[in-house]
Amino acid sequence: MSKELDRYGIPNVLITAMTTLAKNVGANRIVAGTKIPHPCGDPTVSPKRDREIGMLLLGKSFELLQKRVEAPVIVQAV
Amino acid sequence: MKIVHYINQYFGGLGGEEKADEPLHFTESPVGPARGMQQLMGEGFSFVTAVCGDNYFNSNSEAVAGAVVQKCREEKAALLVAGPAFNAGRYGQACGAVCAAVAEKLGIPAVTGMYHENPVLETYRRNAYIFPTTEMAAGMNDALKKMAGLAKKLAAGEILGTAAEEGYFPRGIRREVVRNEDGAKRVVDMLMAKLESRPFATEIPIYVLEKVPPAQLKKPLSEAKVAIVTVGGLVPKGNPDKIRSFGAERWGAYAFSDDSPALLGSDYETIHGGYNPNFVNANPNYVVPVNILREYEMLGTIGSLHPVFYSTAGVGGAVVVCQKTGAEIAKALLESKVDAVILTAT
Repeated sequence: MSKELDRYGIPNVLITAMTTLAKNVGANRIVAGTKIPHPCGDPTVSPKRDREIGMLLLGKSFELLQKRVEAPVIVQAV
Repeated sequence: MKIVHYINQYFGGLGGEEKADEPLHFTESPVGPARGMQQLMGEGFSFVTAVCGDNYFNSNSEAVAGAVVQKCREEKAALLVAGPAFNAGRYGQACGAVCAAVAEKLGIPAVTGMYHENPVLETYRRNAYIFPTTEMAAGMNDALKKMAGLAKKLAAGEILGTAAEEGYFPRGIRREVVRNEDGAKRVVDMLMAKLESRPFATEIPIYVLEKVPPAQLKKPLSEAKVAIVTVGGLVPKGNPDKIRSFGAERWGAYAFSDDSPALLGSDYETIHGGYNPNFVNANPNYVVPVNILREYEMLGTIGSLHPVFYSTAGVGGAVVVCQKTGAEIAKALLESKVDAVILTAT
């Protein structure tokens, strides 16, 4: 899906816990999600920290979106 | 034995594009590739040729396919041959569809040929025996030879080898065989061969994926409209578009309010069959992070959050299906003038 979006000229960042798979399949911009069932946050920590994690993940995603990448990149946000 | 051979207006000698609306007709005198097939099959086979304009087929596919099935039934045809279609889209569609109809309704084998990039190959390779051909009709003789070779085997009721052995595109059918050596020995032998740079044949080919260069932002992010796409299967409660939990082929576009600071668990659920749904059902923002993007929108990091998210369930999705879904969503995004996407997966 990520590659199709790239193919149509829409830059995108894939947030997923399964980063190795994402890279092997050829997604270009990858941010490591927290865990498979909750990639964009952590329900096991305090709401404050949960929000912080979400902001870090998306913050790194936006950084990556603005970067000119040439090959698959995986970024750890937290 | 009787064989019905389906060809289009061009190979039927009627003409080119200007004759593409010619309706279906049958003839006992084989023409074009049907004549070539007849010569290759030799004695013992007689042919009925079906000729139909490509556009006529496109507009009357059910009727034409039905008529070809009926003809095969009447003639008690041993098998159906179509094309070969090479790389032609409409002709490929016609050949594939009549093959599939005959195979399904009468249970007789259907043989055709297509170039490996023919857009309908993937749709029909499971329903017919499709041989790889050249892109253009210059490869006609070769294609017919391959098709006739298999047709003879099928007519004689011979047991076929694997797709690789017989030469047609794999049909996705698994047949159990007993191997002489157990799996452990076979895999070690394979590994030794690989390490010693000797040839070996894999028992399971791994699909090799193409590289697609990353797209780049065309404007500053602070001016960009960002949308969320997910394959985590988040849908409005009740799953109104009936997206499947495994092997989903549908996707939905779900609008939310421009004012909402976050998605509410009471409005959404996930139908994805491959992960623990509890967290996302309680808090959909874990997979469609409207809450976080709304904050970045207020901070001015992004221009705006597109008030629609796009969703399907990713588990069990065949690559070609995901590509199709991805392309359709991409087109919808472009129509909405979305500049960038946050894509989440579970």
